[in-house]
Amino acid sequence: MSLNHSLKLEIPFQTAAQANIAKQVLLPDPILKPQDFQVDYTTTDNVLVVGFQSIDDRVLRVGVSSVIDSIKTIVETIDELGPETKELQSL
Amino acid sequence: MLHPTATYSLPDIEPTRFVVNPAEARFQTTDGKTTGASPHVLNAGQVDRDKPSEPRRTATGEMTPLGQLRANLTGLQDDINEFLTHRMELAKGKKD
Amino acid sequence: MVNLNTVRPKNGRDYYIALGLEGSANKLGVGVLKHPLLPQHEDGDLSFNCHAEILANVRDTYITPPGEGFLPRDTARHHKNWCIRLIKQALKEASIVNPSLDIDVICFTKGPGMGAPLHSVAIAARTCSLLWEVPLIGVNHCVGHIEMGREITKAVNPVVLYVSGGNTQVIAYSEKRYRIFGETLDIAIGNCLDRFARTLRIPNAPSPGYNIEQLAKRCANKETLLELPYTVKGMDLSMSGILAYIDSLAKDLFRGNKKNKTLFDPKTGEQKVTVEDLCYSLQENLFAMLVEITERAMAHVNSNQVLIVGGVGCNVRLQEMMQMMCEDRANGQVHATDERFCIDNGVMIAQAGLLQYRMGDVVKDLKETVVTQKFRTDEVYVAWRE
Repeated sequence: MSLNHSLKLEIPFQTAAQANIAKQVLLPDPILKPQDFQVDYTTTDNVLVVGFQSIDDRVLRVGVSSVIDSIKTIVETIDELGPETKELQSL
Repeated sequence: MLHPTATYSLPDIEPTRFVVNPAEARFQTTDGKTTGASPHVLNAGQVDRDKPSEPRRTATGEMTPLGQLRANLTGLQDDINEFLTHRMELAKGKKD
Repeated sequence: MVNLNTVRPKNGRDYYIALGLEGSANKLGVGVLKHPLLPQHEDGDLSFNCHAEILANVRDTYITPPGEGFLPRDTARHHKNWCIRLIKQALKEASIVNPSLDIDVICFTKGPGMGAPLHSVAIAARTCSLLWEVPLIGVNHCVGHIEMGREITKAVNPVVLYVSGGNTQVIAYSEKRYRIFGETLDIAIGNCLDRFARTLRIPNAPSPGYNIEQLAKRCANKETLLELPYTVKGMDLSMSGILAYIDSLAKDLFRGNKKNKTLFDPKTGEQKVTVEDLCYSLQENLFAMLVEITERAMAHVNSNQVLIVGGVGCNVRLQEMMQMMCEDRANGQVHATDERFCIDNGVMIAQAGLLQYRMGDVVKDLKETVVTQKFRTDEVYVAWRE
């Protein structure tokens, strides 16, 4: 069975540094069943691109929602605990 | 700042694109429909006190760009979850 | 002898600051801890006396309705949604203005515990580390309890009884490892108490174990002990049989099953046993088993000191029973901490993590920060002790 259910998520951050932090935080966690589900993370400037490949919609939904949850935490951390950079607020 | 987007694809089918419409309420909140407390605990009488924090706001009351991003992601996540759930139900309906 | 000052504080300071993040079960804890840089730590065996100063110790507990346990998905949701707010609160209480400059190390629970909740906290820990450019340390939850217990009570080398919702172990230190001398063969004692609390449908706030303790205290019938299975197996113990039996007694009591002669008088049908009696007998039985395996370990290592750590360690009756046993052994002593520290918290993770950091341990690749549900206490190399 092939992993032909795909979803591509593109998330623009304020800076390339932020997108890169998100990628590094998400990378380490292994996938439980790589034969059913795969994720890859890349950055293009300030955009984090996440590619999901899944065996079906159910596994895809669980995986995608879980990664978005992690990304929301990362975004909240950067927003609330990152160094204040006034210039960024206007981007 | 641009908005997050998603594209769902399956071989031989038109891809489905998910975009953020900032005017719509679900992209303005961090409290998603599909990321609430489990129905099981709510039915047992749980009062949910664990909703996500509100998006961060500047001194003038506007959402910060990252606060906006969190809210956008919340709506996008709901759309993707509902879309995939619907597809799963359709597939199940065909089997029965 | 050990040099606890192997790694110096950042920026030429004469003290270390650690941030500790804990989320292995339903408690989310954030702590900020300070260790002064002291010359006596250069060449000694003094990791139980760091002169630690607690700058912040905040905690939020995910509590479910009566009759319900906490499940991974909702517990992880609680941790995800509260984590940043708690970190902000802790930093504010500790007056940390610039984490990049002020914090030496971020310590987080690597395991053991529940996967999804552990992961939620690890995501925040990694992000803070990259954002502030502050090093990370993964900590074993059990070792966190042990090191906090040592620092608070100043017990030099006790046998440790670690009792919580997820763990039941008797531990003694030997040659750079916390060795497990005895443990549960099935469920943890806290899990046994928590599940009985669900059967009784008593509230889970502040904790189910606390409410069982209060019911046991109110038992009017302390001279009569219900006979429950007593399942010590050598150095270990098992508790699932006791739970099954006490659950069945409770169910018979609620259903008014007059055929149960333990609960109802066979002639008059009068109820002989109350819920308070069940709680009392359950505690007496379980705690007696713990005292026995603890004493067995003490005999093996020739110790007369016990340190009780973990959430169930708050139980006053357990402390009393342990004290009675210790006094019989060459005037031994029981050490315990209060609910700020025996219940899961972030400061204990900071304490153990900072000791690891000071000895040169640090995360070099984020792959090392993958959390793990199973993490044996003896897997940790205790570099900070002789």
